[in-house]
Amino acid sequence: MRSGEPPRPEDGASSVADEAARLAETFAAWARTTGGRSGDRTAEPPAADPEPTRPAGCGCAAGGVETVCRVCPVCRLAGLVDAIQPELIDKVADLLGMVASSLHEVAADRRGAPGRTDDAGEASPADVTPPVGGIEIPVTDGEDD
Amino acid sequence: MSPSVQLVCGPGGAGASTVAARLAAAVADAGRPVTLLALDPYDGATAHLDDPRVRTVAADLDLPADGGMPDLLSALGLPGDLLDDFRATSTAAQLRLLWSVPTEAGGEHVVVVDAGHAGPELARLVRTLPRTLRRLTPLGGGLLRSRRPLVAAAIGDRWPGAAITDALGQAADRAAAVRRSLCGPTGGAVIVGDVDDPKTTRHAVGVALSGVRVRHTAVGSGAPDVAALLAPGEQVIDIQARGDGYLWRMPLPLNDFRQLRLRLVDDALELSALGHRTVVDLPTALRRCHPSGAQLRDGMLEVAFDPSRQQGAGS
Repeated sequence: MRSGEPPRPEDGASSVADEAARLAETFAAWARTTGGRSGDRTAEPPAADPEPTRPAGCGCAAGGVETVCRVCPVCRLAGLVDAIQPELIDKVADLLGMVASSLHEVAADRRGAPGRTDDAGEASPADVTPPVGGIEIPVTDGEDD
Repeated sequence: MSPSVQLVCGPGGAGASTVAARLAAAVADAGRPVTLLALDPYDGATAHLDDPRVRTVAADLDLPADGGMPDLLSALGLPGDLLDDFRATSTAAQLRLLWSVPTEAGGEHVVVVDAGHAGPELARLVRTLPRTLRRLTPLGGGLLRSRRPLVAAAIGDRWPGAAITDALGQAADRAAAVRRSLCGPTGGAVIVGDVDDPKTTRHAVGVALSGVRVRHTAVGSGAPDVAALLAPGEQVIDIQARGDGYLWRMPLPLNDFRQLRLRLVDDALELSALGHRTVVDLPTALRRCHPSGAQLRDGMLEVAFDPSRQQGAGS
């Protein structure tokens, strides 16, 4: 790949990256239109603005006021999710799960790291971990038995 | 019944290849079918013996690439020739040599392996290969889907899961058969060299650490007595009941207890001494026990396991 040129994934080989890029573009478009609500009314809506789906319980759904739903973040998010392929949602969910588990591991690692606790001199028995790499077995020649 | 595998090895220049060639000829003289394998195709035992009764195989370093690995690498999106350089390494040659052991031959068959100075390395490979292949087996199943879902989604149907499962299963079976032949009651090792030479001692320690019985230590180029060498012995590693617990025993001749380091790692014992290291699987009965001590006396290592302190029972 040449520098400055966006990656051009082959068919199927980089579908995750491809769909992630599309997701980012969709999010960016959504952010632009949502951001215009706070005063910048001159911002143009995206060309492929999906028809918002009104979620149950949303107050916008009852009145049928289209202009309200274009700026309501709940309806916009619901419409965005509705417009994304289910497979992509699965992958995003997987990604978020991996990020979450990684954060858990980082948190656990920081808890167990020496010198990070405020009461480092009062380690409880639960903090004592077995030595890394198994249990050492002392070997004798049997003379003491 | 598995064939008998006799590993002939020693420090460099000790004459292991000569002893291996003479041993193979002596086995043929005794009327038993014999195969002679050599790690070194140029100066090994196969180059020293021209006997039609002995089938010879040398670890050729220039073999054509097999079909499986390039396909696997391609499925991962990697160049198919990525491991071509690895094929020329000594470890790859040892693997090919082990795959040449005729495991399907009967118990009458004798396989003499001229390992040269690589005896401890080859013994360790024989000991640990089944374990390594067993640990790779989840690659063919749902490992990717459960551990790396994004990668699994990216690879999709191109992941040859069933083929990997089959290949690893067959390889593990073959590796276990080779281990039975070398580490079982009829297998063993002939260490060539002077027992007073520290190099010979270190070599023998390295071989014995992998659970290979050191049957004979030869000085010079004379072949050991075939009948005594091939006489079936007891299991190299055995377990005895001791009180409420068990005693795991393995012969370690020429070892000093001060130089032996022993650790329990998951479901295996890791042994290291004099720069050699190996991992020996524990039988199922001991995997939930706790080691309470070990002693090495008169060339026998005994590790006591106490079932009353099972791991996890008190936590």
